[in-house]
Amino acid sequence: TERELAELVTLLDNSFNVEVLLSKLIDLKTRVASQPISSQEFESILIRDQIPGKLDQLSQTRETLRQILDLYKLKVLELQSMQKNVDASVELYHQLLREAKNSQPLPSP
Amino acid sequence: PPPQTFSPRPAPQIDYNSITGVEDQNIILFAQLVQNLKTAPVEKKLNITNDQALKHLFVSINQIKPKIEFQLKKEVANLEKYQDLYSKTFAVTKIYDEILQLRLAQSQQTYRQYPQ
Repeated sequence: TERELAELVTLLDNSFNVEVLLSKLIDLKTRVASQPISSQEFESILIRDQIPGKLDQLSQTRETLRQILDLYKLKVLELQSMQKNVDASVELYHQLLREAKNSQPLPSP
Repeated sequence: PPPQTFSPRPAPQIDYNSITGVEDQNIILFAQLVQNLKTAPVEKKLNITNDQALKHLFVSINQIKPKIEFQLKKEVANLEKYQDLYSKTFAVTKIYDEILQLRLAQSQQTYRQYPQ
């Protein structure tokens, strides 16, 4: 699981940056909304920021992210189960210690 | 030939907070032992205070507990980071669609103002 996760994260890191693409699109939307721009200018912005290519890769990136999320969810579940197991065992150990101490015969006077 | 230069290799990253296989086994062993004691005969139960192996395991378990908490916090943070990124992929599609809608509306407006 660790190796699989590391491979997926590397795959994601080698892909385009989703946050940068989102930021560029937000800027482009603000620009388009504030003043009409020519088709030529619009196309040149799309090409300059390699937006069509990145949009083509988006479904693959989403799939990689989905697999990463599944693995992290599994890791979190495993750790939560481990934590529960530890807490329950420690609690039981304390309970057994208390019972043992309470059952000890009182020292004779 | 140019003299060979040797650059020191970066030391492999060791995560001292990761839970080792031995620690994992200790958790299972401790859980099994206390569970067995719960249903054990009374005289065996009373002997728990003298059980040194169990005491050692208990000390080890107490040392593992903060590690589990640390790892859990770390993995939950990672999960949230990638969930945020995942939702951003949908925001990308949504904003691109909005841009195209805006462009279409602007083209239609221009056409209405200057037909042919």
